[in-house]
Amino acid sequence: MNFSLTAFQWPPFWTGLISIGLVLLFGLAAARRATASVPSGAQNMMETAIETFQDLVGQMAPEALAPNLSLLALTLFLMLVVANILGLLPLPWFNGDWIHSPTAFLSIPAGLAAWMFLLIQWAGIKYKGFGGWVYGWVWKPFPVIGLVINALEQLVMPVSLAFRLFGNILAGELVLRMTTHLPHGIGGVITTFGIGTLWLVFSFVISMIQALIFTILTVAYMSIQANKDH
Amino acid sequence: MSSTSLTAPNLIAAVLQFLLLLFLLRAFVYKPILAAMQKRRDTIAKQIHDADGLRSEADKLRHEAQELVNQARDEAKQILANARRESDEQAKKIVEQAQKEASYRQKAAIDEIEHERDQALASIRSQVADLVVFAAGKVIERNLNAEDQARYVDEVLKDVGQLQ
Repeated sequence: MNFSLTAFQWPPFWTGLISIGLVLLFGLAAARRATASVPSGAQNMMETAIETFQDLVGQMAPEALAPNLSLLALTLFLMLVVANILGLLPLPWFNGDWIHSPTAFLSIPAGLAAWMFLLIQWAGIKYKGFGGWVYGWVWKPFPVIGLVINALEQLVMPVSLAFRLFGNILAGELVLRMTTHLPHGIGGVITTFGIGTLWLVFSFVISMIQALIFTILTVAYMSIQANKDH
Repeated sequence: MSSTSLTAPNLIAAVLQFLLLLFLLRAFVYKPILAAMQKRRDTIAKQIHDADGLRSEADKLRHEAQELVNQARDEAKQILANARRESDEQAKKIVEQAQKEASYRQKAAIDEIEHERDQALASIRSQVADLVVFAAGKVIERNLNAEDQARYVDEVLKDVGQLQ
């Protein structure tokens, strides 16, 4: 693992664009003939998704935050699902490799997690006031010592968020590629096909679960920060 | 550079991509769909409200109709009772009148009979007188002795008196 302020990796940028493009296409298909009467097809799916996230976020977040946060969470979830699954598709990439998920590059989950960290602090300031936010950081659960505890807790949160997503997706892709390097021959075909298919199904599920975990944890952390009791 | 590298421009690019997607979805997807959902919610609420209004109105109309039917039934009963009473009265009147007329006719018949009888008596009386005169003439013709004559007149007179 290394860090660079200037280097730019193009593959996750392009696959990221492809991801948001696919989400946008689905969204536009849903909204193209948005009707107030009986909805059908894509609109129905999008309405169900919106309502699901409104319910989900409404249970956790303060009432003033919930409407916007639910849309942000839905957007994050849709983008991550597409991004995670992208690396499992049999699409060739320019360097001869198969396509990689943008989330299989540490920078992308890390960037999103860092952004979520900032959003979470912003929510704390907005809903508790600057004084309340500082008080929460320094004085809870113990005066002054709380700062150390909170710094650890608050910094571990985005780091774990980033590494959990990155690790799961990267591992899924690596193991999927490894199944193509199983022994050759009839037996190899069978094991490759059998194990590869099993792992593909497993990775599909993992992709969606990780997208949901990233989203739900972000919502949960933000709700905790925005709540006056904490 | 590998997939485990942290590259600052990629961090920022990822965030910008997410913000771009958020902006586009909000503007072109969430807004129209949320508006449609809200409109549908309003329409359904309005329809439920309308249905409630219609139902209460229907209840009111049914109540009114029931009242009208009850009223009509009462009126019919009253009309029937009136008609029965009137017909009874009429029948009684007719019978009374018939009785009155019958008694009047009976009286008239009795009067006429008495009148006829009086007339008959009067004519008999005048015929008796003629007969007496005729009988007297006959008696005188036969030259009766004084005793017979007296007895004869007495008899005649007695008969005449019985006639009265």
